[in-house]
Amino acid sequence: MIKNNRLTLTILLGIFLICLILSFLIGRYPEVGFIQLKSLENDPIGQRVFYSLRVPRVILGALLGMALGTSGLVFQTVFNNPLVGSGMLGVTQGASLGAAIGIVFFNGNPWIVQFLAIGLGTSALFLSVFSARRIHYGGWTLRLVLSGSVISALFGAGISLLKYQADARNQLHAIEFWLMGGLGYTTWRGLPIVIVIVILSLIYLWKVRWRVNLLALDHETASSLGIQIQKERLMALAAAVFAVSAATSLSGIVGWIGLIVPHLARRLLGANTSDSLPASMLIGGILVLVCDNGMRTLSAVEIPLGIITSFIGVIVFILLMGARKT
Amino acid sequence: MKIKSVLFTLLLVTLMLTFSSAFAESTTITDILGREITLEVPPELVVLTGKKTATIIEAPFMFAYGKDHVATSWGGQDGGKFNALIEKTTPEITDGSVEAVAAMQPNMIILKSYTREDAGLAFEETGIPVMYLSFETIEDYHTDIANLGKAFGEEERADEILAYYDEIVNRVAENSAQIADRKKTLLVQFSETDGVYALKVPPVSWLQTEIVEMAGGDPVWKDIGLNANSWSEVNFEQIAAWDPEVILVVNYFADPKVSVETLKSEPGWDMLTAVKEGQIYPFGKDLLSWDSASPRWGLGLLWTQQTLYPELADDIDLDAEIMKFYQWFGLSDEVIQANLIDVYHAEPELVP
Repeated sequence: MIKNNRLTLTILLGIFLICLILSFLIGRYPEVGFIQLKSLENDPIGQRVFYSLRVPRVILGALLGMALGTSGLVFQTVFNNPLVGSGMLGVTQGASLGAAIGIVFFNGNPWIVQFLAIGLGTSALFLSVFSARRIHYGGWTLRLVLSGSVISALFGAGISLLKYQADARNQLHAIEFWLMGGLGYTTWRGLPIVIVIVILSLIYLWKVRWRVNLLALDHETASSLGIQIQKERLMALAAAVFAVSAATSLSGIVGWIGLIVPHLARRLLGANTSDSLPASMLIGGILVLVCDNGMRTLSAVEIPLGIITSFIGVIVFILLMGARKT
Repeated sequence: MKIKSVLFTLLLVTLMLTFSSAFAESTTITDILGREITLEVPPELVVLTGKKTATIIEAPFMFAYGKDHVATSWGGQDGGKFNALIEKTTPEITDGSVEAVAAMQPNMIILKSYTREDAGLAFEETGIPVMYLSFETIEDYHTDIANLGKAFGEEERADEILAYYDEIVNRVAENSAQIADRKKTLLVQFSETDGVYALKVPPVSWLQTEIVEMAGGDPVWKDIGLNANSWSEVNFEQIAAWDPEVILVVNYFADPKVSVETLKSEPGWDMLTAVKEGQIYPFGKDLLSWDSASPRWGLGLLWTQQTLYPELADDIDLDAEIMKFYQWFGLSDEVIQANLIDVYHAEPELVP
């Protein structure tokens, strides 16, 4: 089993690396298809398209997918609930509200947008958990889903209010663009700090990947094993929220990846997070890169990434839910 | 002798190189966002692309240069019908992605001013000069038209276009100065989806409000604290409270004449002063409405004054004005008459 999982992870890593390399080479410049790196030597516009646009876009896409996949697995494990993802717990709505506030009141300053997205994304998660504990109806799974829906609705109402107040000629357009999610206009602007936050968060989660299994245990069982469960849960959740909020502060909302990727990872490698966490990381990265590559090469129109991932996510989710457990 | 020939040839080559570089004139333009861009004038190819281009897409074709050197996407509220009337040799842009636009190797890219933060910065990264246009206010028109003239090497043409707009503004202002009692005017956008319509009024700072005020009307929607940033929906109760003397109905996607007939048949509307006195009008429109911040706003201003105060504006010959305006785009008289003037006068197609 361990040997099989290692092989699967190696294959996933191989697919991820191939996707990453292909993503750098494929695009619409100078024509639809692969770019010849040698041809860039005497093409100053081509060099800028490649180094200033395509490279940051691919990096953000890979990090976004990895962050969404990994955080989805952490949320589902910690809350012992297969139906939660960053979208279901209000994190993406919270981050969206933060970004909308940054756009409307702080002129879209990328630093402030990122700070507010992370701050409100984190607040939304803790509000969801806090209110789930206050609900006296149903089991933990149902309570968390209910409370996540309520908090999402609350932050969603805040976004609607801001959209109403936003200037239709510039701010509204920017908010809508953000809500649909996309990598089409990614540059290096604001990206270095996102790279640092996401990579540090992912490294932390990767290092504690086997302990994530234990975070689903109840307090008494965990204490008997000598685990400071509250502290470790908090650290894992903070790392997951930071990674997702930082990446989405630039890309906007890209839905469903955080929900379906952990299911795919568990199908492939089992529930042990030692294997399913790195698998979620890789599958998330592969999925976002494939969706983005497909759109930017096959379609002449830049369709927001969030729309495509939602379509694919819903179909995969239905198939997974309908499939017999192995 | 041989040395003399060589020296003479070298001198000649040096002189030729000096003069040829002098002919490739480089100019610096400060665009509407206050950014400085430097480009060779006139550029060989200009691409106008991006989002929200409805108000900026037509102005480049008021210059002779635009028809052979400016490539744009087609479309808009009229499905590209007006754009198709302009005889141009540049291809239609079907792929507006940054990489595809860069692959066209244009000498300049034109984008809408307020798309800089979410799209423009990526286009700027290509290193191709990017000029932003706004065309949202009359003041913006002066900056943007002058900049287009400078970029295209047609500064005289830009001055002529601006003089055309200034003449209209001055003419209307002279007439408005004679008005003692301004008419209470309501401009509403009739917006219909799946058979259900909504009525919306524009923000105070937008061109529609400016047009009604300049034409001598008193915009009734100014004082109720509306959303300052987008069209605000109003209900019949509010309209009845305003009880305007004149109602101007805008419809961007369908015939406003039909919208007027719909409103007149609604219960309660016959009690409004404007409806009782036959003072409810479809806003001037041919293929596109004249109220928005497109180059047609001059026609919209003339139309509004003639509609509000026909006794003051009897010198305005609207058909002649339509002909004059569309000639800026190089359209022939026949094309203008058949595709624009006749459409403006066409009877509404009412569904029984």
